[in-house]
Amino acid sequence: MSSKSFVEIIDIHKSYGKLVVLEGVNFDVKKGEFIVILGPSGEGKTTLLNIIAGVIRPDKGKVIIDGQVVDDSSNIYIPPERRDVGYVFQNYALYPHMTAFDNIAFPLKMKKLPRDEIEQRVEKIAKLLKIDHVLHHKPSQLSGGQQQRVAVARAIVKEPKLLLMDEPFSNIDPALRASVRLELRLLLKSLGITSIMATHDQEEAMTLADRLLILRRGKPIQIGSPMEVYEKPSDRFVAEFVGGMNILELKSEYSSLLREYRVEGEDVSVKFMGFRPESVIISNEGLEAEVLDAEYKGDKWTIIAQIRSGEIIRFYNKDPVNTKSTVYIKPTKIYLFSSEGKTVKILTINK
Amino acid sequence: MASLINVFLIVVLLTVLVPLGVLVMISLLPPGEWSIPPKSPTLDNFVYVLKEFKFYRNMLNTFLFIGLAILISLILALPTAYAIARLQIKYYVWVFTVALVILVKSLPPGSLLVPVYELLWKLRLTNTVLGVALSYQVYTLPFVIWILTSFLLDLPREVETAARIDGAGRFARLRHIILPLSIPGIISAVILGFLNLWNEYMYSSVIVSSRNLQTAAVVLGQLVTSEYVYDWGILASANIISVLPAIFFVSFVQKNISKAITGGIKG
Repeated sequence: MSSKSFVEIIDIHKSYGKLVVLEGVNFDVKKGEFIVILGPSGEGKTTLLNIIAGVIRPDKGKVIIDGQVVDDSSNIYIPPERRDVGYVFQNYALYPHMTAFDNIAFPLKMKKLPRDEIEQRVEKIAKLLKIDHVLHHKPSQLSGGQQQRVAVARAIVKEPKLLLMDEPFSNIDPALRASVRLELRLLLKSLGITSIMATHDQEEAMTLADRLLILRRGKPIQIGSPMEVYEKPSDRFVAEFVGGMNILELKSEYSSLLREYRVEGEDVSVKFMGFRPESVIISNEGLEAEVLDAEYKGDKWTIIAQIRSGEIIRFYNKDPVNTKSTVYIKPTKIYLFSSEGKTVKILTINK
Repeated sequence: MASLINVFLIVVLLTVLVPLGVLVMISLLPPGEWSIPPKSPTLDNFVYVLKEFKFYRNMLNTFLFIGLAILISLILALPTAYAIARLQIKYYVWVFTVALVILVKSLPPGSLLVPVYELLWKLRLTNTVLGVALSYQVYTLPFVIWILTSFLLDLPREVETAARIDGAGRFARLRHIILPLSIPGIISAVILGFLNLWNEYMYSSVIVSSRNLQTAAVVLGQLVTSEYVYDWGILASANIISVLPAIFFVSFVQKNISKAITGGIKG
């Protein structure tokens, strides 16, 4: 893996009339890397993928793939049919009148490869994706999972420079998702395909990504490995969206708690405090909370509780806690956010 | 409610079946007999119409003209419909095209007869198969564009985007994706075109004058005003023969069209 970037997205802007969809998106992808664009629905993820694919043109900005400027939002524009990218659509968009074999073979036919080479490559990729037994079926005769595999096979059979995927797992039975995800990640890694995937599912993003790009209201708010994003969220939104952080408005009643972290009370820029469900211990002192419910999670319990100020928090505990009982909890790691929501400080205490 | 609908359907059915039944009985009358039902039914009228009158030739003409007309329409209409439905053409071009299609579709066909005839005459295409097929574009072209446009608008856009990403240029997409997916639309255009034009009289009677290029409908029309006018048996049997292909056509193709439509666009 070279450190030079393979795909560069530079200052992309896109709006439809008054609706601003993308506003200054910048990022780069290294060869063989798996980037996941994570964000709530309707925040411009699909638009960004379509701009990279060339289906939509940006109002401003540049897209560079493998050293070639494919769109500079003015004169240079390479259409999607000549960009050599693969695309897995959310609804797969298989060709309904073709068999699975013809669907997968279509990109190769467009490249005018000889017939026996097409057959070889389709069969090879079908074996890898375990769909070689359904190649003569039409898409309408395939299950959702098989359709997704055909869509993936069609996207990667031509060995594209770049693979784009738009919520590829959303139409798959939740029970199968985890295994399909793992298989896809291993396959893409073994083939060394550079990939960009869009999703709104943070768990999916965390498990798949080499790096995450968090998009909110058309702006990238954090780029980093799943661990970086989880451990050091750049702001309140990321902290809540990735891993579900409890966030409380700072009040004087927490001052004794905060003193333990040696936070100066006069630090006026700090407005919110947050802690993750797993970094909480039940103690004799700390935040007073009334337990509302406890959910069994196998290895742990999720406790849902209401603190004095009325806010609901959730945290994990090894043992169940009686509902309606009062507990005192102490976060072992807290995040402090400014009034604009930016992360100001991350503090830990020893348990 | 259901029984009311049944009554309604039966009435509609009778309005078709009663005249048709009377027509069948008339066609079986021997010359000079006027009783209904016929006392001594005979097939002589049919034999005469086919053997002496060679009515099948006129029916073949009808088939040929309509077939060629629809083929020309399809060739012109598919790219046009695709452009209206999908391409980023200039807005005024779009409006102009759509307005023209609607205008021609809603004009009475007779209003274009004289200019069309003059044009074909200048091109020396009167009295030719191609000439009639071209004149039929007045009916078929706007109508086929109409059907195909609404059909293409219903096709999922993403399938086409997928084809672009798979490396298919504009014509490859039209050939490998749009055309095969439009087959149900094309079939309905062919069926409706045949049904609409089967009894076309105005254009075919004006543009063709030679007997061996006349269509079935024109010959039937002439029977009423010709020497055969008194022979109702011949008139009726010729009518029945000309209706038969339409009945076969509809009942045979209808099964396939519903299959084509339901099987064609299901993702």
